[in-house]
Amino acid sequence: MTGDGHRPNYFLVWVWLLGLVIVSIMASLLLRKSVAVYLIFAAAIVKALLVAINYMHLKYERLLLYALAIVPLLIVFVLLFALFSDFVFHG
Amino acid sequence: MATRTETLTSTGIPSGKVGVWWFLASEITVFGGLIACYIVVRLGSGGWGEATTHLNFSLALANTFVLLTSSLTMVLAFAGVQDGSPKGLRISLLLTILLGLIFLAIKAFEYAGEIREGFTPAAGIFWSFYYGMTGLHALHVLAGVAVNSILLIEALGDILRPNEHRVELAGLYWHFVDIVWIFLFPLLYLT
Repeated sequence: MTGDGHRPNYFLVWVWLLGLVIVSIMASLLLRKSVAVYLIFAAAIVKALLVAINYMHLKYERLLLYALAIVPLLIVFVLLFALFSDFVFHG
Repeated sequence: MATRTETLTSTGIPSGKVGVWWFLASEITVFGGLIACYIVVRLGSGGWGEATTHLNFSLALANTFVLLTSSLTMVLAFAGVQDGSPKGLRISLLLTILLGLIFLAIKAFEYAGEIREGFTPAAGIFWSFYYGMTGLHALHVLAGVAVNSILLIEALGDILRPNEHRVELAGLYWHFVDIVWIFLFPLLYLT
């Protein structure tokens, strides 16, 4: 994977992760809750992708490993949407 | 990086790595299922915003910093393997273990404060979810600390060399645990 000498800048990724934490906190303090929620979870998704791509080296991996990460996420989304209408709209 | 004890699957990916990713796939459904249930139950019932105000935000923020930093030290341990630097590997692994233990100590302190105020797992549905999700996550951190400690002992005894690819596999697990916290922190403490 990274044996060819190319390597992400791990420190820079870490700085980005901390920066996104600060963005999330600022959003929760300064923005209306309905707006802040979107920004907070967008930041969380970006942070997760930064870790997966750079620290878990998905950037250098084959499609099979992407499938192993994505298929269970799809299952979780199916669960989420299957439960959503029942719990949220019918109490 | 291929070392002599690694075996490859027919896909060309080392079998250990495929195995760990299969394990992580099952873990995604465990934590993902919990988080999905938390979201729908929270959206379907009121009063949860008030419960979250009793959580200790400062300690959770400190733990976020600790865990993100531990991911950096974990990946630096793997960089130590790639660079053929046993010293870098040992120091980075040691730091990762210490940061994992600091995370657990802070979490235990946070739990103690909440339980003292009467917010036990039986105090309501929010608290059941809170202790269930963070407790399961903390157990995963503990397991990661145990795995990393075994690797460190082997590295110190200079017997890790034929199996250094295990550092990458342990790292995959550790970063996954970090990603889980990346979602738990805003779900519980910021919204």
